[in-house]
Amino acid sequence: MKEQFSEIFKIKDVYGVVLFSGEGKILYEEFKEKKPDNLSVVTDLYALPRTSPNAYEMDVIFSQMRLYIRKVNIGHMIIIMGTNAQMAMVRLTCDMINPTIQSTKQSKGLGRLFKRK
Amino acid sequence: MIPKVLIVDDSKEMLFALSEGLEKYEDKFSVVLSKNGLDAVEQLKANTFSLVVTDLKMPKMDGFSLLTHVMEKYPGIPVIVITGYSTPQMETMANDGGAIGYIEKPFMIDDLADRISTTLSTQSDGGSLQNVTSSMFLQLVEMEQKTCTIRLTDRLTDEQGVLFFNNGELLDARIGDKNGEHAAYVLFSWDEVNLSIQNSCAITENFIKKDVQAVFLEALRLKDEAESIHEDPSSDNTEPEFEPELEPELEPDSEPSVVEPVGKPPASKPKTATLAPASGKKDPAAVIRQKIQTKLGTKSGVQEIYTDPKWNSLMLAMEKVALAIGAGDLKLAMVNNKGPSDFILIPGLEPTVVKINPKSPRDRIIDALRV
Repeated sequence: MKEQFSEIFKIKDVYGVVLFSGEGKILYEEFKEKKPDNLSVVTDLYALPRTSPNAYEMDVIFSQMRLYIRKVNIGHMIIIMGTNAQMAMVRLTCDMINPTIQSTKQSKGLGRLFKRK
Repeated sequence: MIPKVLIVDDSKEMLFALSEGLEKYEDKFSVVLSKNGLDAVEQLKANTFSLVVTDLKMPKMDGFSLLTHVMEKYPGIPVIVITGYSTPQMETMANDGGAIGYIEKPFMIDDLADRISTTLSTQSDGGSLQNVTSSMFLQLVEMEQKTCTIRLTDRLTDEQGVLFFNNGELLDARIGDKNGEHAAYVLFSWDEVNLSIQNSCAITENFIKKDVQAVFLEALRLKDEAESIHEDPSSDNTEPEFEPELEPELEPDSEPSVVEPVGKPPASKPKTATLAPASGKKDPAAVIRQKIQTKLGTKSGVQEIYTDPKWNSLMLAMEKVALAIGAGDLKLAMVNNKGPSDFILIPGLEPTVVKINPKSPRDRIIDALRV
């Protein structure tokens, strides 16, 4: 998963990613540097997709932080940024990451043992 | 995407030495050699280069003439001049002619390589992306509305092209010796590209009179048309290659209609914000509209502005999150439900909702409102 999210961390002012399942369980979290103390309880972030479950994407701008919430097939992805992050790049990178996140779900049957041609 | 550098010198020995010496930088750039200015002109027609390095004194067409040609025809390509007969006048002429570097012979190949690498790095100072589909790419361009030069490589053919934008407006496109709409149709027909973004644009003249969305749609139409002709065995057309028309039928105004907004929302809305309230106080909707118009003009894609309590619970959740994570005050939020409109929410006693066309320059509207 770290490799899949590496592109997002190349964008200036992005400093964290949290991936939630549809039930609000944290599937993955990563921060560029040490996780800030105020983000110690990242589960708080899930309040946003829970309140607006049908939103495909939300961009929430605070005075000191910006959150990009993106619906993905396995739940919701939340990108934590500074206020000057390039949003178009963040969106585009999320578009590119989304299919790879889905593909990490372990498939049943022979598909998980053999590569497709 | 490995950028291509065109090196022009009439000395075979020099070309050989440069070719050998720069080989170790092949992970950063590739080199194409040219023996004089005329030959370089042909190479420029056939390829898309990121940089030209040229000698000055050459037969047939000298470096100054080549420099002038590149500045006129390929303004996005920087030129570094190298010369063995340097005088202050020549250096001034080269700089005045638009050269971004002037190197006297003899020089260390590694120094030239450093100069090339430094110049090329500015061509991706806005970032680079791999495996981008054309629709994703368009999304990037539309959302960002920026002034930039975007260099594309078609992943299928390795062909390269360049797009020039000024505040999101497509000024020009170039591929080989083609430019303008014709070149844009080719570039937008590529299914998957690698791209690098330079945060500046060397072009000021507008060679493309159409909206980028209209150019994109026309490129798709032409591509579909070309593919269907190719697939149709009854067709007389024997040309398998996609050749866009020079005079496309689509008009620039054919983009999705943008409702001229604000102040005239439909009666069905919960509470309509008016433009000139009787109280004499400045109406929030009018202030919002003014902010948007100042930055984007009247064609911003704003459909309506109104207050709506149904967003209260989401706004409350945002405020709670802000408190929990120490994010500061909530400035605004954007919600995209993949419906016919996106919503920008501005906190207040009742949230003010700016309903916008999903095709509108959302990020620019947000920038206008967050100040």
